[in-house]
Amino acid sequence: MSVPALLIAATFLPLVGALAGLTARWWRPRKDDRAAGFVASACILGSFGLALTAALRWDGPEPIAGSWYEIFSLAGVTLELGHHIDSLTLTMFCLVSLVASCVCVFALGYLSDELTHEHRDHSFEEELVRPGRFHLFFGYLCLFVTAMLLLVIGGNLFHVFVGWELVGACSYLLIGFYYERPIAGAAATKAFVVNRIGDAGFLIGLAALLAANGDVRFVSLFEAAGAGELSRTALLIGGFGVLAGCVGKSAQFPLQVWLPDAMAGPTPVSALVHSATMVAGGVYLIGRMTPALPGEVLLTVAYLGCATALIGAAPALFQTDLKGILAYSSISQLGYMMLALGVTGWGAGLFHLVTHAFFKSLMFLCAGSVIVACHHAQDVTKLGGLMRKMPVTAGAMLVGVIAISGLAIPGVTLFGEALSFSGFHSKDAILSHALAFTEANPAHAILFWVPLVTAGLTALYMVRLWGLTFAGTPGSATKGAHESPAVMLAPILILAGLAAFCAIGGDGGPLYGFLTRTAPEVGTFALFESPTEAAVDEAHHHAEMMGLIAAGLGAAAGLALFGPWRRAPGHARAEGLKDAAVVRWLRSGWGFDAVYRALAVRPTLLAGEVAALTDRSALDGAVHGTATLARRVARFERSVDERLVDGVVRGVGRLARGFGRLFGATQSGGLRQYVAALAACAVGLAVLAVVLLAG
Amino acid sequence: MARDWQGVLPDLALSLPAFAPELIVCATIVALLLTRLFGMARWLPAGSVAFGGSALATALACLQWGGAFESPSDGWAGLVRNDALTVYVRVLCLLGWNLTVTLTLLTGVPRPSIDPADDDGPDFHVPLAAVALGSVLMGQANHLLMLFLAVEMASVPAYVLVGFRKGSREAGEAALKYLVFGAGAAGVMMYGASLLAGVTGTLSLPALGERLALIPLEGLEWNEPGVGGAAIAGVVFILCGLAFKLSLVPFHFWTPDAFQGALAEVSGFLSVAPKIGAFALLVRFGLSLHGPFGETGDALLTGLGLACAAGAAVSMTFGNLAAFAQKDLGRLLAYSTVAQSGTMLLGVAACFLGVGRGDGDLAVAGLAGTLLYLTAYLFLNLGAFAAVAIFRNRTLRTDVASLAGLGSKMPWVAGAFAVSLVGLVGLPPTAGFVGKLAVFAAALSDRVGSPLLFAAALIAAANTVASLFYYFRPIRSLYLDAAPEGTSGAPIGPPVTGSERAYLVLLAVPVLLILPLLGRLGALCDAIAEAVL
Repeated sequence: MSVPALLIAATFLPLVGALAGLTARWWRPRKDDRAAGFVASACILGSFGLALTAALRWDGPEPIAGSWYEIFSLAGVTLELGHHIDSLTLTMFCLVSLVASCVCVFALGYLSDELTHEHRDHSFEEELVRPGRFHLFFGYLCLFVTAMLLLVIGGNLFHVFVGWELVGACSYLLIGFYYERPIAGAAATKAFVVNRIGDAGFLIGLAALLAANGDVRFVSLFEAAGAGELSRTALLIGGFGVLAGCVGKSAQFPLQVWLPDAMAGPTPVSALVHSATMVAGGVYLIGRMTPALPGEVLLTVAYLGCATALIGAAPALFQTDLKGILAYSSISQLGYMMLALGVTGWGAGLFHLVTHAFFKSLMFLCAGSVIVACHHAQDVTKLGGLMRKMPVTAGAMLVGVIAISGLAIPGVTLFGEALSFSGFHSKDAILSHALAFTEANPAHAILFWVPLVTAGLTALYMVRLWGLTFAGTPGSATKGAHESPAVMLAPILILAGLAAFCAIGGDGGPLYGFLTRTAPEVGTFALFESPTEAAVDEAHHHAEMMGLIAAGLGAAAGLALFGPWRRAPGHARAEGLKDAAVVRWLRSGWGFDAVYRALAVRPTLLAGEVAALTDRSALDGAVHGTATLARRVARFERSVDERLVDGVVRGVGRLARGFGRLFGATQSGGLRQYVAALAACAVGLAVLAVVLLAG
Repeated sequence: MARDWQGVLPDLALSLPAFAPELIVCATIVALLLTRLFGMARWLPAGSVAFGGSALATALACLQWGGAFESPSDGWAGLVRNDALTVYVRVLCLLGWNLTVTLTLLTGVPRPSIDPADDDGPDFHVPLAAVALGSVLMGQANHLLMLFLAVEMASVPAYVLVGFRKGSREAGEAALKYLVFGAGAAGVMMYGASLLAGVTGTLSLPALGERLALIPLEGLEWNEPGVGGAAIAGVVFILCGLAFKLSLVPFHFWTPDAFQGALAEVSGFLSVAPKIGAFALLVRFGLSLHGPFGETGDALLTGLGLACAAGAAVSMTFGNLAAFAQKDLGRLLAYSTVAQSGTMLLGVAACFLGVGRGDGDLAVAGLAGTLLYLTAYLFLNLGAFAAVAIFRNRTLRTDVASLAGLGSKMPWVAGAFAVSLVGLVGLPPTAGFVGKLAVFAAALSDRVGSPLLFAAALIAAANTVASLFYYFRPIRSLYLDAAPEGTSGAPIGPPVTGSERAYLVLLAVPVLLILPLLGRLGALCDAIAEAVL
């Protein structure tokens, strides 16, 4: 099979699992049956196998583009479905299918409490008992994987948009999986609505590029943009429009508000959708579109990413919810990726996408393991001391913490390189690009310092997370906690291995080498100076040291505050801070929700009320008025009809009168006039035609 | 005489296979009449016979696809034309018939009687089949005589169908109005045909253009119109007859009364099948005026195109305005039909103008747009009337107010009705949008062209917005208005059956999923238009 055929098969294979999951209530009516889960896991694993085979068989840096189905082709506008395969596509395919496989297997264990007719949901005041939905979850999950792969394989913007919206819809289903809980329903709606705001921009950008270029195939877009055939306006509208979509999907400032709420879904969903795949879709699309993005858009991407990195990191310091910390951390890390893409560090940004996918999904799965062990308690202040009870989970989580913090031990070498985990390499690459960029453009110095500070914050909140959960004295919610079963630990261990070693060799290693095989050339822009490769190499050493120092400081502070020696709850050193106004403000995510509620949600609802009111009173009145007017006109017309046309009738002939007499008993008032009008119209039109044509 | 007989057999051999679906319809009619005899109705209900016949005829028509593209031919000694347009009309009309028969089986119309001898089934299905036959014949008439016969074949049984509700004063009046008006229109059309035949000396449409080209239109005097005037009057009178079938203003008077009085199933069918046939006939007749040479044809076609554009603008404006004040669903949809006819006529206008001016692209785009719209319209209108019929079976009323609160009680029917109405407005992503888009694109693509066509397209766009208000009134009633006091909670009538739901979904699916198929369907309509032109 050729590479495209393999990838197309990999895209649609999970559909089998989706079908199995969605129809399981008919072919597997027993609730305690995992069949759908097994089918789903097999399909996604098969998908991974196909993707891996394709990656191994792909030769050369030439991208493969092709068309599947032309939806329509009018003069100057073509919409079609098709593929565009290069190293980025292949990397994303392997990444998505691998993480999805791990999450799917993990979910087999995580969701085993759904395998009953009487699932008890404890998050209500009165316990809610409902039938389990084990099969349905795997159906949704497979549907999501197909949509995501469809997005990634897309060879033109329209195809990507189709995948984009499908992914959004599946995400809605997955976040709202526990839809009886009001919080889950609200979170799903919020995610959906906020994403649609970005997608409105995406549609505008898509339309602008479609109008300017005639089709939106990446190949032809890049060619036209490179040759300067597209107008600047089209490129700007297109670029900013696509960026708006990506800001929504990748939870960037100012649309980041939906991601923390989205944690209301089951934890495997958070691991797959809201850390590794869907939220990375925005970063992926910016990376994909880079050759067609003008300087203004790239600089906006950099600043938005920079702001998001900090805006995400600060609330993470004060979250008490286990998944909340991880959610804000995801926002912050996505900001890093965007920043890298903005400062022309294409490879660095997407490199971080891959490493982040592994270590973040690892941490979410570990969190899931903890949550199951502690009977769905997620408050870190009630956890603690789980290291002894769950050593494997604790160890795996530690790998994730070290990886995301970018910690390393310089000087000590293993296999000929510094002892470090994947996050160190990717963050190092980002920081060195940012440093080289700010050296070339001193006006944008903030683009290096903010991520550097954020690196320290990252280490701090991650060590806090680990310390509060696994170290210290056992918390109130940890009674009876024990290590998770093998079906949940196996994916965790695989992801831990990947999180530790996938980036081996840094930007000289195999992963980075494969990823950047089709990297776009760094363009030249009027707005800023792109750093040269030599400058980046030179910045490497400084950035590495500074990043390490920042991370080290953060980790040290974390250890001091939340290490094993911390005091029991109620006596902690930072206790006084807990309820300070500024802390509450940061904990609520900078109060964005309140601002949006006041600025957007309330006015919208108010406008709706006003519109309903207008509709009820004014508009109905207007419509009724029109109706009355129409009736009056009709009455007038009729009276003219009866007087005038009746007169004509007598002149025109006896036909109508004859009919009138014949059907006198049943005729209604208009019958005679009907026929008279018919005759009059025919004659009138004929005369008109003769006059017009001959005259 | 001997030579004539020699030609008959090959002609028969050529015509019969192409005419097979029509023969099936005829056979079905005979079979329906025969079931009354020998007490067969007891084990072979008329509905089943009609369904079998219609399904067979539709299948046969579908099988003829392709062949007609390759070798268009004349049949029955030049009375009918067998080409791509013929097959297209045949498939759509017979499909419409089949869908209508299915609907009557689902809604139980006409009511089954305990006494088989008193069963109304054959009485109902025979005229229904006859209307289908007439519509199909309209799509292939190639001769003035055939034109008249086909129009009457589609009209006369329709009078019976409209008045079918026995004992209903409303239906009787509607049928009488329809009959009287139809008789008038037939008279006018017959007169036009005889004028045209007298002037040109032929009844055959293909020969009409050549003969007309010999008649000068210049220098006609008002008091002495001469041959040219007679020719023009003949053309106009025939067009009046066709406009009656298309319910275009000012020949639409029968439409609201007939559609309100008739059963919703009948209204749905009458608003679709004869209209598809009549549009094809209009195109055939109009194109036949354009001979291979001569300015007369060009002038006639350009004038015809402008007249169509003006008629389109008037029809849709009047239809939409009149629909505003309607309270009865049948009347509302009747005026909507008038407006929809106007929009479709816009494509025909573009086609005629393109031919008259020698602009082949415009002609193809216009005709293809109308054909695409007709395809969409088949599903939209049948779906809307089917929903009305199913509502009527539950509420025993057909006014807009009776829909209040039904959105939650009958979600499937309400949803299908809403989809049809949204499609009739022409909102994306429904089939109505695709049809309107194609027609507008054709009318606006006339860059050098006449201001009148452009103005008509703009009026059509404004009308689309205006039509939103009355199409959304039933939807608002369904979903926003509270159910009337006293009926809330209790279900009305028997619950909606699964097969009724399946039927509505069957009609709604093409409406919703047309966009991905747009490329193929558009190419098909283009091919038909090119073949005809």
